Amino acid sequence: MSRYRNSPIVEAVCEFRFSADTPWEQNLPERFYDAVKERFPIRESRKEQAIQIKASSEGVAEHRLETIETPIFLTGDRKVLIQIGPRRLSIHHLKPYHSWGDFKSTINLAYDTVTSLTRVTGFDRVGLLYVDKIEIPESSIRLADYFTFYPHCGEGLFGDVMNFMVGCDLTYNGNRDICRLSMTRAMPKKESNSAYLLTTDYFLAKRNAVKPEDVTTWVEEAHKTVKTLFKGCITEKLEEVFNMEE
Amino acid sequence: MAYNSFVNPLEGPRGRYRYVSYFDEDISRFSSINSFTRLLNDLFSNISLEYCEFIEQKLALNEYWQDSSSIYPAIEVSLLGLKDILGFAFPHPGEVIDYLIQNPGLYDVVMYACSMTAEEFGSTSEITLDIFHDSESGDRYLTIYVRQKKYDDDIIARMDRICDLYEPGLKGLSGWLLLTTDYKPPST
Repeated sequence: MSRYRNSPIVEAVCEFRFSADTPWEQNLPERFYDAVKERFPIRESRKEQAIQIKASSEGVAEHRLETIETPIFLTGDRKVLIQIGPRRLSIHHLKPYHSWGDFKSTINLAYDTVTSLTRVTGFDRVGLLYVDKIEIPESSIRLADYFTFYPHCGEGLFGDVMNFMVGCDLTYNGNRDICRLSMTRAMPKKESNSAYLLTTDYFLAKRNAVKPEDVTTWVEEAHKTVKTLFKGCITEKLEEVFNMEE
Repeated sequence: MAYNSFVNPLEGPRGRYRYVSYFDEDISRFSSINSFTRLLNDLFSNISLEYCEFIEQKLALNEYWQDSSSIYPAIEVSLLGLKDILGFAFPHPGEVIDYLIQNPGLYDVVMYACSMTAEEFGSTSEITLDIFHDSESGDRYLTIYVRQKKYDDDIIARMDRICDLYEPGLKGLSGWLLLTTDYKPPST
Protein backbone atom coordinates (compact mmCIF):
# COMPACT_ATOMS: atom_id res chain seq x y z
CA MET A 1 0.00 0.00 0.00
CA SER A 2 2.95 2.33 0.43
CA ARG A 3 4.87 1.31 -2.68
CA TYR A 4 3.28 4.10 -4.70
CA ARG A 5 4.93 7.42 -5.45
CA ASN A 6 1.91 9.18 -3.90
CA SER A 7 0.71 6.88 -1.15
CA PRO A 8 -3.02 7.37 -0.49
CA ILE A 9 -2.70 6.34 3.18
CA VAL A 10 -3.72 9.23 5.43
CA GLU A 11 -4.05 7.26 8.65
CA ALA A 12 -3.16 3.79 9.90
CA VAL A 13 -4.39 2.60 13.29
CA CYS A 14 -3.66 -0.46 15.37
CA GLU A 15 -5.86 -0.76 18.43
CA PHE A 16 -5.91 -3.18 21.35
CA ARG A 17 -8.86 -3.36 23.73
CA PHE A 18 -7.77 -5.57 26.58
CA SER A 19 -10.11 -7.94 28.40
CA ALA A 20 -11.86 -6.80 31.57
CA ASP A 21 -9.70 -9.01 33.80
CA THR A 22 -6.45 -7.41 32.61
CA PRO A 23 -5.10 -5.47 35.64
CA TRP A 24 -5.03 -1.74 34.84
CA GLU A 25 -3.59 0.49 37.55
CA GLN A 26 -4.51 4.14 37.53
CA ASN A 27 -0.91 5.29 37.04
CA LEU A 28 -0.28 2.98 34.08
CA PRO A 29 -0.43 5.80 31.49
CA GLU A 30 2.09 7.75 33.55
CA ARG A 31 4.49 4.80 33.66
CA PHE A 32 3.87 4.15 29.98
CA TYR A 33 4.88 7.73 29.16
CA ASP A 34 8.09 7.39 31.17
CA ALA A 35 8.99 4.36 29.06
CA VAL A 36 8.27 5.92 25.63
CA LYS A 37 8.96 9.64 26.13
CA GLU A 38 12.20 9.57 24.18
CA ARG A 39 10.30 8.67 21.01
CA PHE A 40 6.99 10.34 22.02
CA PRO A 41 8.01 13.52 23.85
CA ILE A 42 4.77 15.49 23.43
CA ARG A 43 2.16 14.74 26.02
CA GLU A 44 -1.42 15.94 25.69
CA SER A 45 -4.82 14.79 26.76
CA ARG A 46 -8.18 14.59 25.08
CA LYS A 47 -11.56 15.04 26.64
CA GLU A 48 -13.80 12.11 25.83
CA GLN A 49 -17.53 12.16 26.31
CA ALA A 50 -19.02 8.91 27.58
CA ILE A 51 -22.78 8.67 27.28
CA GLN A 52 -24.92 6.23 29.20
CA ILE A 53 -28.44 5.85 27.88
CA LYS A 54 -31.29 4.00 29.53
CA ALA A 55 -33.74 2.81 26.92
CA SER A 56 -37.20 1.36 27.36
CA SER A 57 -40.17 0.65 25.12
CA GLU A 58 -41.07 4.34 25.60
CA GLY A 59 -37.77 5.42 24.04
CA VAL A 60 -34.87 7.08 25.86
CA ALA A 61 -35.72 7.12 29.56
CA GLU A 62 -32.61 8.97 30.71
CA HIS A 63 -29.08 9.66 29.70
CA ARG A 64 -25.92 10.62 31.55
CA LEU A 65 -22.85 12.38 30.21
CA GLU A 66 -19.42 11.85 31.66
CA THR A 67 -16.17 13.55 30.65
CA ILE A 68 -13.01 11.42 30.67
CA GLU A 69 -9.49 12.72 30.07
CA THR A 70 -7.43 10.38 27.93
CA PRO A 71 -3.65 10.81 27.65
CA ILE A 72 -2.12 11.10 24.16
CA PHE A 73 1.60 10.87 23.44
CA LEU A 74 2.95 12.25 20.15
CA THR A 75 6.22 12.26 18.26
CA GLY A 76 7.93 15.63 17.79
CA ASP A 77 6.50 16.04 14.28
CA ARG A 78 2.99 15.02 15.51
CA LYS A 79 2.74 12.38 12.78
CA VAL A 80 2.58 9.36 15.09
CA LEU A 81 0.57 9.23 18.29
CA ILE A 82 -0.40 6.78 20.98
CA GLN A 83 -3.64 6.97 22.87
CA ILE A 84 -3.93 5.05 26.11
CA GLY A 85 -7.25 4.74 27.91
CA PRO A 86 -8.58 2.24 30.42
CA ARG A 87 -7.65 -1.20 29.01
CA ARG A 88 -7.29 0.39 25.63
CA LEU A 89 -4.25 1.20 23.51
CA SER A 90 -4.24 2.64 20.01
CA ILE A 91 -1.33 3.59 17.80
CA HIS A 92 -2.04 6.08 14.99
CA HIS A 93 0.29 6.80 12.08
CA LEU A 94 -0.68 9.81 9.99
CA LYS A 95 0.67 10.68 6.54
CA PRO A 96 3.31 10.36 5.29
CA TYR A 97 3.13 6.62 5.92
CA HIS A 98 6.48 5.17 4.91
CA SER A 99 6.25 1.43 5.39
CA TRP A 100 4.60 -1.40 7.26
CA GLY A 101 7.96 -2.17 8.83
CA ASP A 102 8.10 1.28 10.46
CA PHE A 103 4.51 1.11 11.65
CA LYS A 104 4.91 -2.43 12.95
CA SER A 105 7.93 -1.48 15.03
CA THR A 106 5.91 1.35 16.62
CA ILE A 107 3.04 -1.05 17.32
CA ASN A 108 5.47 -3.50 18.92
CA LEU A 109 7.08 -0.76 21.01
CA ALA A 110 3.70 0.36 22.39
CA TYR A 111 2.35 -3.15 22.94
CA ASP A 112 5.55 -4.45 24.54
CA THR A 113 5.61 -1.43 26.83
CA VAL A 114 2.09 -2.22 28.05
CA THR A 115 2.96 -5.88 28.61
CA SER A 116 6.00 -4.80 30.63
CA LEU A 117 3.73 -2.77 32.90
CA THR A 118 0.80 -5.15 33.35
CA ARG A 119 -0.22 -8.74 32.72
CA VAL A 120 -2.37 -8.84 29.58
CA THR A 121 -4.84 -11.70 29.99
CA GLY A 122 -6.73 -11.40 26.71
CA PHE A 123 -8.40 -9.15 24.18
CA ASP A 124 -11.94 -7.94 23.74
CA ARG A 125 -10.90 -6.66 20.36
CA VAL A 126 -7.83 -6.04 18.24
CA GLY A 127 -8.08 -3.96 15.07
CA LEU A 128 -5.91 -2.81 12.21
CA LEU A 129 -7.37 0.02 10.18
CA TYR A 130 -6.16 1.90 7.12
CA VAL A 131 -7.76 5.07 5.79
CA ASP A 132 -6.87 5.87 2.19
CA LYS A 133 -7.74 9.20 0.65
CA ILE A 134 -7.90 8.85 -3.09
CA GLU A 135 -7.73 12.03 -5.14
CA ILE A 136 -8.32 11.86 -8.88
CA PRO A 137 -7.50 14.89 -11.05
CA GLU A 138 -10.91 15.01 -12.75
CA SER A 139 -14.10 16.65 -11.48
CA SER A 140 -16.38 13.96 -12.84
CA ILE A 141 -15.35 10.34 -13.15
CA ARG A 142 -16.86 6.95 -13.84
CA LEU A 143 -16.21 5.07 -10.57
CA ALA A 144 -15.87 1.75 -12.40
CA ASP A 145 -12.80 3.07 -14.19
CA TYR A 146 -10.93 3.44 -10.91
CA PHE A 147 -12.59 1.11 -8.42
CA THR A 148 -13.84 -2.43 -8.32
CA PHE A 149 -15.64 -1.64 -5.03
CA TYR A 150 -18.22 1.10 -5.52
CA PRO A 151 -21.99 1.68 -5.34
CA HIS A 152 -23.90 0.32 -8.29
CA CYS A 153 -26.93 2.31 -9.42
CA GLY A 154 -29.17 0.37 -11.77
CA GLU A 155 -30.62 1.71 -14.99
CA GLY A 156 -33.88 2.57 -13.23
CA LEU A 157 -32.17 5.12 -11.05
CA PHE A 158 -31.78 8.58 -12.49
CA GLY A 159 -30.11 11.79 -11.29
CA ASP A 160 -26.50 12.52 -10.49
CA VAL A 161 -25.01 10.90 -7.39
CA MET A 162 -23.97 13.68 -5.01
CA ASN A 163 -22.99 11.65 -1.94
CA PHE A 164 -22.69 7.97 -1.26
CA MET A 165 -21.48 5.55 1.33
CA VAL A 166 -20.89 1.92 0.49
CA GLY A 167 -19.68 -0.74 2.87
CA CYS A 168 -19.54 -4.42 3.53
CA ASP A 169 -18.24 -6.79 6.19
CA LEU A 170 -16.09 -9.68 4.97
CA THR A 171 -15.35 -12.56 7.33
CA TYR A 172 -12.16 -14.56 7.75
CA ASN A 173 -10.93 -17.50 9.80
CA GLY A 174 -14.35 -19.00 10.43
CA ASN A 175 -15.96 -15.65 11.39
CA ARG A 176 -13.28 -14.99 14.00
CA ASP A 177 -12.10 -11.90 12.09
CA ILE A 178 -14.04 -9.32 10.12
CA CYS A 179 -12.84 -6.74 7.66
CA ARG A 180 -15.20 -3.78 7.38
CA LEU A 181 -14.69 -2.18 4.02
CA SER A 182 -16.24 1.19 3.33
CA MET A 183 -16.00 3.95 0.79
CA THR A 184 -17.42 7.46 0.79
CA ARG A 185 -16.89 10.79 -0.90
CA ALA A 186 -14.19 13.06 0.53
CA MET A 187 -13.08 16.68 0.32
CA PRO A 188 -10.85 17.25 -2.73
CA LYS A 189 -7.79 19.48 -2.48
CA LYS A 190 -8.89 21.27 -5.65
CA GLU A 191 -12.40 21.92 -6.95
CA SER A 192 -11.33 20.30 -10.21
CA ASN A 193 -10.56 16.97 -8.48
CA SER A 194 -12.69 14.11 -7.23
CA ALA A 195 -11.85 12.60 -3.83
CA TYR A 196 -12.87 9.43 -2.00
CA LEU A 197 -12.14 7.84 1.35
CA LEU A 198 -11.58 4.10 1.34
CA THR A 199 -11.41 2.49 4.78
CA THR A 200 -10.35 -1.06 5.59
CA ASP A 201 -10.95 -1.99 9.23
CA TYR A 202 -9.80 -5.54 9.99
CA PHE A 203 -10.68 -6.65 13.51
CA LEU A 204 -11.01 -9.55 15.86
CA ALA A 205 -14.75 -10.09 16.18
CA LYS A 206 -14.73 -12.72 18.93
CA ARG A 207 -13.47 -11.86 22.39
CA ASN A 208 -10.42 -13.72 23.62
CA ALA A 209 -10.09 -15.67 20.37
CA VAL A 210 -6.43 -14.69 20.14
CA LYS A 211 -3.96 -15.29 22.97
CA PRO A 212 -1.59 -12.48 24.02
CA GLU A 213 1.43 -14.47 22.84
CA ASP A 214 -0.14 -14.81 19.36
CA VAL A 215 -1.26 -11.23 18.85
CA THR A 216 1.83 -10.15 16.91
CA THR A 217 1.17 -12.89 14.37
CA TRP A 218 -2.49 -11.85 14.21
CA VAL A 219 -1.51 -8.25 13.42
CA GLU A 220 0.90 -9.42 10.71
CA GLU A 221 -1.78 -11.56 9.07
CA ALA A 222 -4.30 -8.73 9.37
CA HIS A 223 -1.92 -6.48 7.48
CA LYS A 224 -1.50 -9.02 4.68
CA THR A 225 -5.27 -9.31 4.29
CA VAL A 226 -5.84 -5.55 4.35
CA LYS A 227 -3.14 -5.04 1.74
CA THR A 228 -4.67 -7.67 -0.54
CA LEU A 229 -8.15 -6.22 -0.07
CA PHE A 230 -6.99 -2.72 -0.93
CA LYS A 231 -5.41 -3.98 -4.13
CA GLY A 232 -8.66 -5.79 -4.85
CA CYS A 233 -10.69 -2.58 -4.51
CA ILE A 234 -8.87 -0.57 -7.16
CA THR A 235 -8.05 -0.77 -10.85
CA GLU A 236 -4.74 -0.40 -12.65
CA LYS A 237 -5.90 3.01 -13.83
CA LEU A 238 -6.05 4.19 -10.22
CA GLU A 239 -2.60 2.75 -9.53
CA GLU A 240 -1.37 4.96 -12.36
CA VAL A 241 -2.82 7.97 -10.51
CA PHE A 242 -0.89 6.96 -7.38
CA ASN A 243 2.29 6.87 -9.39
CA MET A 244 1.80 10.16 -11.24
CA GLU A 245 4.25 13.05 -10.75
CA GLU A 246 2.59 15.65 -8.49
CA MET B 1 -31.66 -2.14 30.03
CA ALA B 2 -28.73 0.25 29.87
CA TYR B 3 -25.89 0.31 27.42
CA ASN B 4 -22.93 2.58 26.94
CA SER B 5 -21.90 4.41 23.83
CA PHE B 6 -18.27 5.47 23.98
CA VAL B 7 -17.76 8.65 21.99
CA ASN B 8 -14.11 9.37 21.48
CA PRO B 9 -13.01 12.65 19.87
CA LEU B 10 -10.29 10.74 18.11
CA GLU B 11 -12.69 8.43 16.41
CA GLY B 12 -15.90 10.42 16.18
CA PRO B 13 -19.32 8.78 16.17
CA ARG B 14 -18.51 6.83 13.06
CA GLY B 15 -21.50 4.56 13.30
CA ARG B 16 -23.73 7.45 12.40
CA TYR B 17 -22.11 8.01 9.07
CA ARG B 18 -23.83 4.99 7.66
CA TYR B 19 -26.94 7.14 7.59
CA VAL B 20 -26.41 10.43 5.89
CA SER B 21 -29.52 11.99 7.42
CA TYR B 22 -28.11 11.61 10.95
CA PHE B 23 -24.92 13.27 9.91
CA ASP B 24 -26.88 16.18 8.39
CA GLU B 25 -28.59 16.76 11.71
CA ASP B 26 -25.29 16.75 13.57
CA ILE B 27 -23.95 19.53 11.43
CA SER B 28 -26.98 21.71 11.07
CA ARG B 29 -28.31 21.75 14.60
CA PHE B 30 -27.27 24.27 17.17
CA SER B 31 -25.13 22.53 19.78
CA SER B 32 -27.13 23.15 22.92
CA ILE B 33 -28.17 20.62 25.56
CA ASN B 34 -31.75 20.75 24.27
CA SER B 35 -30.66 19.98 20.74
CA PHE B 36 -28.46 17.20 22.02
CA THR B 37 -31.32 15.62 23.97
CA ARG B 38 -33.55 15.89 20.92
CA LEU B 39 -30.86 14.28 18.78
CA LEU B 40 -30.48 11.40 21.24
CA ASN B 41 -34.20 10.82 21.11
CA ASP B 42 -34.25 11.03 17.33
CA LEU B 43 -31.41 8.56 17.09
CA PHE B 44 -32.53 6.02 19.64
CA SER B 45 -36.22 6.34 20.43
CA ASN B 46 -37.44 4.06 17.67
CA ILE B 47 -34.63 1.57 17.54
CA SER B 48 -33.49 1.24 21.12
CA LEU B 49 -35.01 -2.12 21.96
CA GLU B 50 -34.06 -3.65 18.62
CA TYR B 51 -30.55 -2.34 19.04
CA CYS B 52 -30.27 -3.58 22.61
CA GLU B 53 -31.42 -7.03 21.49
CA PHE B 54 -28.86 -6.98 18.71
CA ILE B 55 -26.10 -6.08 21.17
CA GLU B 56 -27.30 -8.77 23.60
CA GLN B 57 -27.12 -11.38 20.85
CA LYS B 58 -23.63 -10.28 19.91
CA LEU B 59 -22.48 -10.40 23.53
CA ALA B 60 -24.07 -13.85 23.98
CA LEU B 61 -22.04 -15.05 21.00
CA ASN B 62 -18.96 -13.42 22.51
CA GLU B 63 -18.73 -11.15 19.47
CA TYR B 64 -17.47 -7.61 19.41
CA TRP B 65 -18.33 -5.56 16.33
CA GLN B 66 -17.36 -2.00 17.15
CA ASP B 67 -15.32 0.08 14.71
CA SER B 68 -11.66 0.87 15.31
CA SER B 69 -10.72 4.25 16.69
CA SER B 70 -9.74 6.59 13.91
CA ILE B 71 -9.08 10.29 13.58
CA TYR B 72 -9.46 10.93 9.91
CA PRO B 73 -12.90 9.88 8.62
CA ALA B 74 -14.97 11.91 11.09
CA ILE B 75 -13.04 15.09 10.31
CA GLU B 76 -13.19 14.58 6.57
CA VAL B 77 -16.91 13.86 6.50
CA SER B 78 -17.73 16.74 8.85
CA LEU B 79 -15.84 19.28 6.73
CA LEU B 80 -17.57 17.98 3.64
CA GLY B 81 -20.86 18.55 5.48
CA LEU B 82 -19.88 22.12 6.34
CA LYS B 83 -19.15 22.72 2.66
CA ASP B 84 -22.09 20.96 1.05
CA ILE B 85 -24.81 21.58 3.62
CA LEU B 86 -23.91 24.86 5.31
CA GLY B 87 -22.11 26.43 2.35
CA PHE B 88 -18.73 27.02 4.03
CA ALA B 89 -15.84 27.96 1.72
CA PHE B 90 -12.51 26.13 1.98
CA PRO B 91 -9.75 27.84 -0.03
CA HIS B 92 -7.15 25.37 1.31
CA PRO B 93 -9.02 22.24 2.45
CA GLY B 94 -5.90 20.08 2.64
CA GLU B 95 -4.23 22.44 5.13
CA VAL B 96 -7.37 22.65 7.27
CA ILE B 97 -7.66 18.87 7.42
CA ASP B 98 -3.96 18.47 8.26
CA TYR B 99 -4.23 21.06 11.05
CA LEU B 100 -7.20 19.26 12.58
CA ILE B 101 -5.55 15.86 12.23
CA GLN B 102 -2.38 17.00 13.94
CA ASN B 103 -4.31 18.72 16.72
CA PRO B 104 -7.06 16.12 17.14
CA GLY B 105 -8.67 17.55 20.29
CA LEU B 106 -9.51 20.69 18.34
CA TYR B 107 -12.07 19.03 16.10
CA ASP B 108 -15.01 19.09 18.53
CA VAL B 109 -14.46 22.75 19.37
CA VAL B 110 -14.18 23.70 15.69
CA MET B 111 -17.41 21.95 14.83
CA TYR B 112 -19.12 23.67 17.76
CA ALA B 113 -17.82 27.09 16.69
CA CYS B 114 -18.73 26.49 13.03
CA SER B 115 -22.28 25.45 13.99
CA MET B 116 -22.76 28.63 16.03
CA THR B 117 -21.24 30.81 13.32
CA ALA B 118 -23.51 29.29 10.70
CA GLU B 119 -26.51 29.82 12.99
CA GLU B 120 -25.60 33.47 13.56
CA PHE B 121 -24.27 34.51 10.14
CA GLY B 122 -25.13 31.75 7.69
CA SER B 123 -28.04 33.51 6.02
CA THR B 124 -26.29 36.87 5.53
CA SER B 125 -22.60 36.12 5.14
CA GLU B 126 -19.97 34.02 3.46
CA ILE B 127 -18.19 31.83 6.02
CA THR B 128 -14.71 30.56 5.22
CA LEU B 129 -12.61 28.07 7.17
CA ASP B 130 -8.93 28.51 6.41
CA ILE B 131 -5.44 28.59 7.90
CA PHE B 132 -3.98 31.95 8.88
CA HIS B 133 -0.18 32.15 8.63
CA ASP B 134 1.34 34.73 10.95
CA SER B 135 4.41 35.82 9.01
CA GLU B 136 6.04 37.48 12.05
CA SER B 137 5.79 34.61 14.53
CA GLY B 138 5.60 31.80 11.99
CA ASP B 139 2.54 30.43 13.81
CA ARG B 140 -0.48 29.01 12.05
CA TYR B 141 -4.05 29.25 13.30
CA LEU B 142 -7.26 27.77 12.08
CA THR B 143 -9.49 30.72 11.24
CA ILE B 144 -13.19 31.22 10.54
CA TYR B 145 -13.69 34.35 8.42
CA VAL B 146 -17.12 35.99 8.20
CA ARG B 147 -17.52 38.20 5.12
CA GLN B 148 -20.54 40.32 4.21
CA LYS B 149 -21.54 42.42 1.21
CA LYS B 150 -22.54 45.24 3.55
CA TYR B 151 -21.01 44.83 6.99
CA ASP B 152 -23.37 44.90 9.99
CA ASP B 153 -22.43 47.46 12.66
CA ASP B 154 -22.59 44.84 15.42
CA ILE B 155 -20.63 42.12 13.60
CA ILE B 156 -17.72 42.22 16.07
CA ALA B 157 -19.97 42.05 19.13
CA ARG B 158 -21.83 39.08 17.64
CA MET B 159 -18.57 37.29 16.86
CA ASP B 160 -17.29 38.01 20.37
CA ARG B 161 -20.36 36.33 21.86
CA ILE B 162 -19.57 33.18 19.87
CA CYS B 163 -15.87 33.32 20.88
CA ASP B 164 -16.90 33.51 24.54
CA LEU B 165 -18.78 30.24 24.11
CA TYR B 166 -16.16 28.16 22.31
CA GLU B 167 -12.84 29.55 23.60
CA PRO B 168 -13.04 27.82 27.02
CA GLY B 169 -13.03 24.55 25.08
CA LEU B 170 -9.60 25.38 23.64
CA LYS B 171 -7.96 25.43 27.06
CA GLY B 172 -5.21 22.84 27.31
CA LEU B 173 -5.37 21.94 23.61
CA SER B 174 -2.65 22.35 21.04
CA GLY B 175 -3.62 24.54 18.11
CA TRP B 176 -5.96 27.54 18.14
CA LEU B 177 -9.13 28.75 16.44
CA LEU B 178 -9.90 32.36 15.53
CA LEU B 179 -13.25 33.79 14.52
CA THR B 180 -12.79 37.09 12.72
CA THR B 181 -13.48 39.18 9.65
CA ASP B 182 -11.03 40.89 7.30
CA TYR B 183 -13.79 43.19 5.95
CA LYS B 184 -13.23 41.88 2.44
CA PRO B 185 -16.28 41.34 0.23
CA PRO B 186 -17.53 37.76 -0.21
CA SER B 187 -15.76 35.89 -2.99
CA THR B 188 -19.07 34.98 -4.68
